[in-house]
Amino acid sequence: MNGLPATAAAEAAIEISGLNFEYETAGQQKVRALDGIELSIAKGEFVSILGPSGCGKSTLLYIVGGFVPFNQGSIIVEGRPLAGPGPDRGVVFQQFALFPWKTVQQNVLYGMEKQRVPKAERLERAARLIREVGLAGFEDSFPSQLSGGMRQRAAIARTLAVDPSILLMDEPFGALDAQTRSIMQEQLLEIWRSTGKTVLFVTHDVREAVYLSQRVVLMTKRPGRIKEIVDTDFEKGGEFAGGKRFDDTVEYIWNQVKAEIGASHG
Amino acid sequence: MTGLRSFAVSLAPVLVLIAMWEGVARSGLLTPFLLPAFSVVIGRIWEDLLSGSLASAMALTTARALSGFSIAAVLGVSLGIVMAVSGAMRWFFDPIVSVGFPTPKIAFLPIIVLWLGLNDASVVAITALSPFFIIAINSHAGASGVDKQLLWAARSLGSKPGELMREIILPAATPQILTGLQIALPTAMIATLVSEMLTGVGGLGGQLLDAQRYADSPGLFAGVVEIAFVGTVLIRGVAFGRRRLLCWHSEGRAGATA
Ligand SMILES: Nc1ncnc2c1ncn2[C@@H]1O[C@H](COP(=O)(O)OP(=O)(O)O)[C@@H](O)[C@H]1O
Ligand SMILES: [Mg+2]
Repeated sequence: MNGLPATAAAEAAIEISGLNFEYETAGQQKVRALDGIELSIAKGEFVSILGPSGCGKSTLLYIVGGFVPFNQGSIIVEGRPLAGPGPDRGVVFQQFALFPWKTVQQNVLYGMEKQRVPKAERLERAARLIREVGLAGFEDSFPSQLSGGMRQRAAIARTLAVDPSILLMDEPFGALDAQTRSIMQEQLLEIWRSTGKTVLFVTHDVREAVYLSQRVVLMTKRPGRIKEIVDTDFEKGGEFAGGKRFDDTVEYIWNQVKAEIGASHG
Repeated sequence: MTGLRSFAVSLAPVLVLIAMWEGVARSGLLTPFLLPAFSVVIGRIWEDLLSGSLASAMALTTARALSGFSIAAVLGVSLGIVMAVSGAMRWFFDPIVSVGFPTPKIAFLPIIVLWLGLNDASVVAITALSPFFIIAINSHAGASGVDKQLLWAARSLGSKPGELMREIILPAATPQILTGLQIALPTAMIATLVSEMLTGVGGLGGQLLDAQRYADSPGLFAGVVEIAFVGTVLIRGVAFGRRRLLCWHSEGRAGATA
């Protein structure tokens, strides 16, 4: 089931080759987090990353985000070698990373202020995004006044506000209840289809990965290597009514993941 | 109002202490010279109030304490943040701060007087020196402990590295900076009073020194009550400012909504 990108010939949004990465820890010890990552993501493609916890999914996202310098391998983003963070890659952090001293609205406005979006448009876009993620009425709340799921949605709105061409999302629906999660999934798909953004989506939910994405990248336990890339670019009726091919793919990936988790205990 | 009631309840132990003081003083166990009655001391404070000497001493001491403390706040916060950002500054100042922090700063008073003379400048200088290191250490800890993902988020939303200081590091470090200021304020007031007493340049500390010199025991006790009053007001003021500044912080609110 090794799939190729649907648009292999098209220009790549993100091209990772030969990426190794280790964290330096106290006492000169090194923790190898990523090992020989080769991954090419086409413009407008939706790719999920799936793997046991601690396998380096967040690390990979941080590296592509430009936050963590690496010295082995190469990463090309939209034709240019990766150089630091930038608003072309919007990041949704696993721990939200909202600015706690700013209200929901001020958080969402921050990036647009940096992009010098005119004020009227800024306010209008913020109001719309806050409404779309279901936080209308909480514009003036501080993050400390919100539940985990609400913070996560505020963080998603903040990232979407700068309209990045690439979305790097680290378990962005992890703190949401099942119903809100499915609403947010539909919205993300809608945004992706209508804007042609490239999405790199980290999750530990197999059904979510298969439902949302065109390809699912399976990673091994630490040090994270790419174990297999599964093509999931087919018609899906819905996350829980996906049809035979959907269910078979989910089951196949599940078995791979289970084998990997088992291996980490072996 | 619950606020008023809880204030009254928190005042009760102080009232009990005052009642005990009055009782012991009137019982004749101690001579009025060793322990003047609270009512006598209050009478004395009232006299000072009418003559205007209390207001001028309080104003002088408060002005010295606040100007020294403000200088310490500006310099200490700046140094702490600069140390958090620059490795070179940290390398240079870390050992100095480590030695300066535990040293009793009042030991520098004779040197300061030697340089500046027996005047306001010396009092303000020692008042600034005393809390400086606590403020710097807390600001340093606050600024270097900023969650790096906040900085990453700001960068990926388009802020320049040079904007991070003012827009992210400073607000994120504010709770701990304010904690440092709160801890440091009593240190500043101690330095003001002790240096007033040692240099005899007036103020509440100078008054205390005079009362001691003339064996004026009601004056000594009145001085302590006045100092306790000024100290309480200043510390409450800083705590109030903290709550206002940190309305976003969960600690700053009575109850968070779900
Ligand atoms: N700052 C760090 N310093 C040292 N080791 C780290 C650091 N961050 C993560 N790691 C280690 O790197 C590995 C990958 O972490 P991470 O990318 O967060 O995994 P995942 O997101 O897949 O759960 C883990 O074993 C983790 O313990
Ligand atoms: Mg992670």
